[in-house]
Amino acid sequence: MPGKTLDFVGATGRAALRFAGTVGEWGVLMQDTIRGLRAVRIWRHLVFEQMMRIGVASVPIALFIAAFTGIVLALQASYTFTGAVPVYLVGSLVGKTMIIELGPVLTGLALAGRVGASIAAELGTMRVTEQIDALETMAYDPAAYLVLPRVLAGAVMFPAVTLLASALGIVAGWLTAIQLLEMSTPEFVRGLETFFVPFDVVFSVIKSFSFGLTVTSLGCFFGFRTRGGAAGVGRAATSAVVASSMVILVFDAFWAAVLL
Amino acid sequence: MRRSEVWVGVVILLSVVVAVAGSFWLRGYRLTRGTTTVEALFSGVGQLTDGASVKLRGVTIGRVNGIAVEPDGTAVRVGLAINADVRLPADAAVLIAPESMFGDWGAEIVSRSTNPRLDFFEPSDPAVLPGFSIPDLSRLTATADQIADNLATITDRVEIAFTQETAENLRLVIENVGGVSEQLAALVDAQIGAVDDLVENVRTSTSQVSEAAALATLTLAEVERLLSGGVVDSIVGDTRVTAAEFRRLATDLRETTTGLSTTLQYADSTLVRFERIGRELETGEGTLAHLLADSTVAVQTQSVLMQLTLLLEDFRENPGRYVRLSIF
Repeated sequence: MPGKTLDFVGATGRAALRFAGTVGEWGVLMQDTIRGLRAVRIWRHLVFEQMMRIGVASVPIALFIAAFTGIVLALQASYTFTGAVPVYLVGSLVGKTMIIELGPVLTGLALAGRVGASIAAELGTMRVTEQIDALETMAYDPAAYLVLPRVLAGAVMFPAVTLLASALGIVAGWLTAIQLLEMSTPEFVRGLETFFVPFDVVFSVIKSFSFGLTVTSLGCFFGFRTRGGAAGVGRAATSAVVASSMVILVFDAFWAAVLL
Repeated sequence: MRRSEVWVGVVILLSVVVAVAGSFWLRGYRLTRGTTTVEALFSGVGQLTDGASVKLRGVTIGRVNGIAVEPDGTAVRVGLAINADVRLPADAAVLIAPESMFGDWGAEIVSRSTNPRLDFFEPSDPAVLPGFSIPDLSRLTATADQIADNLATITDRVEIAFTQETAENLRLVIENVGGVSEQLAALVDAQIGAVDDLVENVRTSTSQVSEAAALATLTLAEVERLLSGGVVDSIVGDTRVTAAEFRRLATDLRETTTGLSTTLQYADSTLVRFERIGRELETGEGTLAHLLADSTVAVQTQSVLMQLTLLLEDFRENPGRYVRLSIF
């Protein structure tokens, strides 16, 4: 019995050390990435391509998710708000929820699955095929060449995609309200206006910016540390998605506690 | 320019436009309509937030644009961005109230004359509108809760105090109050009669005073006439002479009184003598008593008196027989 307890304690310690080591490796990669900012000539031409792949290419899935989220929000709000609750609060709930919570978080999660997995798989493949080693051999800074464009693109494009997704979610909620819930446009707009403050948009941008940094940097990190061929690439993609999703939720709570 | 760059630019610009334009739209800013800002002062603003609606007669005409506590901490200054083409009432004031039960508050511009019972904050600057914030539901609920507690306490105390004996006492008190009321009514009736008499007397007195006043007026006129004619001066002169005469008469009287005192002393001693003579007469002592008691003495006295009479007659007829006058 004492031996099993000791094994459990030892396993916990190993896991903690492994986690701390992983965080440290991520920190080292981010340090290299920040240092790579000086090599503008290397990453300057790559940023727009990554913006296209990470941001523009992700707009359809983000808008799709946001649109149906807005529809569901309006329907569930009207289902919940009965009796003495005024119907215009459907607009308040849809607007507020889409701007400060569901827009950034759902977009972040969706892009974590799409972008994070893609980055991890791509860089993982380059790692197992020793393309990254070849870059280092040719005196190319892998962080500046591979990581920095993706992180910058994610930091810029996540907020943009999130804002578009939030706007479309509100529009979808409004259409649902006037078509299915017998609400009028002024009622829905009144609800939107009632509790809206401009800081909500700033809050949404801050959150999605941090999500963009998280998803791209973790995707690059897990891609960079891929080992073991195709199976390793799959594990790296999975780890990137899981880790990104968890960190997104942690950041979601963190920003709510800090900024609201 | 590559196609990817265009698409990236489109997404970024579109998102920025959506965020900025949507925020302005939801805050109530409209490009087609100019706004002007008025300010109002409140003692408190409840749960009013920046961007809350501003209404006039129920119509939204603007938004709350800035909430700040005054530097001295005595009031809250609220900016109201309202449509420039809206004309406010002459005695405009701002009322802050909940718009629903869900925490959304709004400001309404009202005419102060239509809300005379509201205690608006009085700004010193006439350009700033006075404001009043209606207590929110939670505060009203707390007050109602406190009132309910007080009522419960009073009810408990009434239950403790209100026994059968208390009810009987109350009945007696009510009966006593009835009797006292009747007495008071009688007293009031009597007092009314007295007051009537008093009023009549006052009326009579007033007429008399009026007549006296008229008479006094005439008298004063006469006095004035006398004063102006010099009659008083002559009267005063005569009075002065009369006073001197009185003074002299008093001096004479004082002297007479002094003489009278001496006379009274003489009379007193004379009476003492008369009393002594009387006692001697009663006791039969003295010459006079002998005269009264002895008739022979009286006869002899009478004969003496007759001889004296004859002597006097002889003296008148022959004075030289008795008197010899010699100068040298």
